[in-house]
Amino acid sequence: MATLASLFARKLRLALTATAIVIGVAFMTGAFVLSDTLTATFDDLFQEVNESKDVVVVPRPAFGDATEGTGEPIPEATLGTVRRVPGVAAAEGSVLGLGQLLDEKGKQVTGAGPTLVGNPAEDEQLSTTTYAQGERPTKADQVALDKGTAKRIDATLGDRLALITPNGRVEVIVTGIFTFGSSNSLAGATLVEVPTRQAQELFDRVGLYDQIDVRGSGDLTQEQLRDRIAAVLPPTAQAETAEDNAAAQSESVGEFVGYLRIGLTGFALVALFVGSFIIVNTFSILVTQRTRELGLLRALGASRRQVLGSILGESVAVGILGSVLGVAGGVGLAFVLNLALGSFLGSSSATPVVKPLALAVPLVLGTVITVLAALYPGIRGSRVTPLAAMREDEGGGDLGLAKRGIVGGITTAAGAALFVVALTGGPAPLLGAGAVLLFVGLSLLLALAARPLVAAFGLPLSRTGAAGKLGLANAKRNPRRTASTASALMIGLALIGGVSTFAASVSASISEVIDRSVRADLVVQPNGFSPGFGTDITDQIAALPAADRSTPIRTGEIQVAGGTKSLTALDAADGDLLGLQVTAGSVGTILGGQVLVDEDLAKEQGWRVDQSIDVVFARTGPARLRIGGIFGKNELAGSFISSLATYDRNFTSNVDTVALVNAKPGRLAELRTQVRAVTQDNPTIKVQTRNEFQDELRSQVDTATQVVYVLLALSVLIAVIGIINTLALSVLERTRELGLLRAVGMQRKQVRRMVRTEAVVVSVLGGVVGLAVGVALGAAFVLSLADDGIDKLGLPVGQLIAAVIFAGLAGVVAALYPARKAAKMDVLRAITVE
Amino acid sequence: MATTVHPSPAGPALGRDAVAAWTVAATKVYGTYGQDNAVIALDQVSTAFGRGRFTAIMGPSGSGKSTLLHCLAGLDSLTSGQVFIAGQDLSKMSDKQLTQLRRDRIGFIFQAYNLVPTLTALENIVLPASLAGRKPDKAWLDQVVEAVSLGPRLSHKPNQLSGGQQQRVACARALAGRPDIVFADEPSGNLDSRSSAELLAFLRRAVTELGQTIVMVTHDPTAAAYADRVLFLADGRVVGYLDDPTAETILSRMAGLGG
Repeated sequence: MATLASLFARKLRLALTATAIVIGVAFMTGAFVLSDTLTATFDDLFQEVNESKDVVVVPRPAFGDATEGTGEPIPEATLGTVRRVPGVAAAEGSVLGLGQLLDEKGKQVTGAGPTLVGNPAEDEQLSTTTYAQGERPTKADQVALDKGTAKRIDATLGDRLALITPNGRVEVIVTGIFTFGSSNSLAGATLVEVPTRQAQELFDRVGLYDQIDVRGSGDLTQEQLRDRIAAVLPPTAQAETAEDNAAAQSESVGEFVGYLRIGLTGFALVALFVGSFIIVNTFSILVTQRTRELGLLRALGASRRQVLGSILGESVAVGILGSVLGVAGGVGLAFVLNLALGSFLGSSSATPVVKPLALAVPLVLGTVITVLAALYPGIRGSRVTPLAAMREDEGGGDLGLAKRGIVGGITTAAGAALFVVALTGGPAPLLGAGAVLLFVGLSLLLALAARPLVAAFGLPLSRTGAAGKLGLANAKRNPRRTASTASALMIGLALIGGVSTFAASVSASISEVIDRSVRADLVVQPNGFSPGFGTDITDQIAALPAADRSTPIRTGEIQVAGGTKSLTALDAADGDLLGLQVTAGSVGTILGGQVLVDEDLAKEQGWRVDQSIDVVFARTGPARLRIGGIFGKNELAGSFISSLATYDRNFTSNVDTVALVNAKPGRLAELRTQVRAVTQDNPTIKVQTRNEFQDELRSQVDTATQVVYVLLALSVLIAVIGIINTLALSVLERTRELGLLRAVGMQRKQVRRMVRTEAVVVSVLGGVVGLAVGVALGAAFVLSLADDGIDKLGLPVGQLIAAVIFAGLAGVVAALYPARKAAKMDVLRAITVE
Repeated sequence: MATTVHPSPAGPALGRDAVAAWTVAATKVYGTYGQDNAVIALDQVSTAFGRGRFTAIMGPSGSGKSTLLHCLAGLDSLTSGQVFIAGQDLSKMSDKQLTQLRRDRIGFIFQAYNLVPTLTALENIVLPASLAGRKPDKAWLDQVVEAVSLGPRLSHKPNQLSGGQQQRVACARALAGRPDIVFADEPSGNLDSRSSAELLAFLRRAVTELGQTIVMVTHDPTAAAYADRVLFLADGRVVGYLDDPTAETILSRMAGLGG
């Protein structure tokens, strides 16, 4: 009976321990497979739609890439020139802009991406879209939609929709539904086609194109054709081979996928790190429980190396088992996520791309981490003396508490030091290394502090009767075990504490930033992916009877001193609506074509008022600008401020990104109604008071934080498994004692309460220490960002309290199984067990 | 030495006050009855344990003495028959009721592992009362604690006590709740002869001076000689009683049993 029970216990322990690794490995595999799949899906798509193209002609960006330094659009005449180049079979000019579609009920059509509005290509082969239903729009009030969007909003041919662009609102009829290549949509974007002439009207491109696609007759290579075309282009345009162009498109998606991969892998590493604590703990308990057996082995002549080998052998088995299960689970996870993402992004690929490396790396990492984690308990086990076979309750050669304190203190200090170095400008990977050392050190130190801390946290619980008291006593009885079990939870909650401190600080700083940089009563801006609204809206707002003063805000990028800097244009007379603090010179100078420059940048470059500097504008190229003034830090203004006239001369954009308005005294409500009336046609425009604007920014921070919490919940889950594992082993170890307690009158309910109390105390210990560490780390991080606008330290008191309660609940959940097991124990068997 | 009290289902006829526990045709079979592998540990045992008496149960190993003790104490259940403690039929009780009975009406002394290592000696002694959420009877507790003469060691944890001291703490715990009956399973089995004698003398005093009822399983005639009466078991049956035993009379009786 006893051997059967121990065999079962062993299997259970093996399974629970492997679970600690399974989750992390699965997450990592999932991240790898998913990102490989997404990359492959988009590579295929871009290759497909570029298949028949040989060369593309695009505006020559004045600096950087096309998104930074959008150049002068291509004149219509160039299309004719290109078409006449020998070797060109077909060429099509295209216009592309951002818009917003309204459905039949006037509601905004939203999706995972922006709404891209363009014109169809006449040449069938050059067209990236394939019409599934209806035909291309030919009149100004006609549009065609991608199939994914049509499905999503349940649109059919003949439906009446509205299209909003910076040029205003157009009522339109759906005449066609198309696919993008073979995909229903492009990465979740809403695709709209309008006639070429209409596209040029809508996006201020009359007589101009954003791009020319060229198909060769087939007797030239892409490079040869490109060079021929390049020879006839105006200096503002440049030719690229379609291959290079597709690669650039893939790359920009690849960059996004790369961030996704790094982010998810980070969470997977955290999960594995937490899992490693559980491995250490399980193997430590194992070695303790097996001390007599190990001593006997040594007495029978097994060498230390052999004992170590046997323990590490088991860890290899656990590691491989967990990693294989994890990899399998991860592929499954990626499959499910890919399906979900596929329907979300409208991509058609349903089979995940499983590269060998995506399996090998998590497999090896999971196994290696398991074995490394088992190394210390293994060495401890190998130090068991043959004499231990004859003694009882001998824990092997564990580090003494004092020694633990010294090692822990040094490790913690080293971790903290690395962390600080990383925050004060050191390389970013040091941040991770510092955190790892810090947590390892703290877990060692926690063993010293466990007893007093448990006593302190347990004070309210000790009043709940004998069962609660016994549970507390159990939590105190082996501080090392308690500490390392709590440590697993500590890590998860430290990260939660850090993130919530950071988020609270960002939220707190938002108020300050907005108070500093927005002085207007109302903030008018577009929502979602819309870039802005037509300048006519701002003009109408300015003319409203209840409006006092107002200014549009336009933004762009310029190149200066070798870097790309943001430039903001506004109405000179109303610079104070942006809360501008001019420390030298004056705002008025921008009317004369001068610019204002940010204080910090001026200091860095050694610029003074009246000095002239060389800049490059995206559209118009190099220019010399005179500095008319210097302003104090303003998050909305960016680095440079110019007049609207200067902006319009030098940028292709024709939209206002924000309008700031002040009401005449006491007429704010009235102004609001009036602004609403002006923007009635365009539901993409939001009208917000300063407080609403702040609230929205804060709620965006909250949303982002919640996503991170969900991902961190994984590591908490692993920690819970660790508590289950430890408690289950402890219950097994205390069989005799449980039997005694039951014999002298402890009810099953009390047994469960005893186990639960221990679990709750351990998890609250991990939770409180973790949150304290997290708040400290978060605060350090926030302090290092003081120059980036996050200069207020927020303490998320409510969330911290909630997190402690959450930790306690995690303990209750973790105790369910061990408590049940303990309560169901056969009393007679327990007291007669040898 | 005549057998003076015959086992009888009429136990209650002696009066409830005179009997602390009794069994009626108590039978315990391990395995399935009637099959080859079935082992009959108790076979129709009907007996009674007088209140205020110290009874020793003896018998060769495999005679069923531990099984009888476990069934009497509500730690194990009978296959058939009944066990009564303080007039209550154990076979009709739920686990919760049995647990409560053990806590409130029964005292236990095991051979080893009697104490909870995380509790002090005193906490161990009052453990059943704590589990019940009761304050122990102070005057009685003082009396018991003084009798086991632990003095300054009351605040010590079990691992700071010698084996003999640990067993005395266990005795104090068994008696602290003023139970109807105390069950002791080889209480001196792990002790040296001096500690053993001390412990048994203490149990004797608990009966004589404090009026407690003790049922003790032992295989040691010297230990059994401390009892008022010895109950002999063999092959799961009661094979005789011996009142006012001495080590010699027990030995000769055991020789007669072939144990």
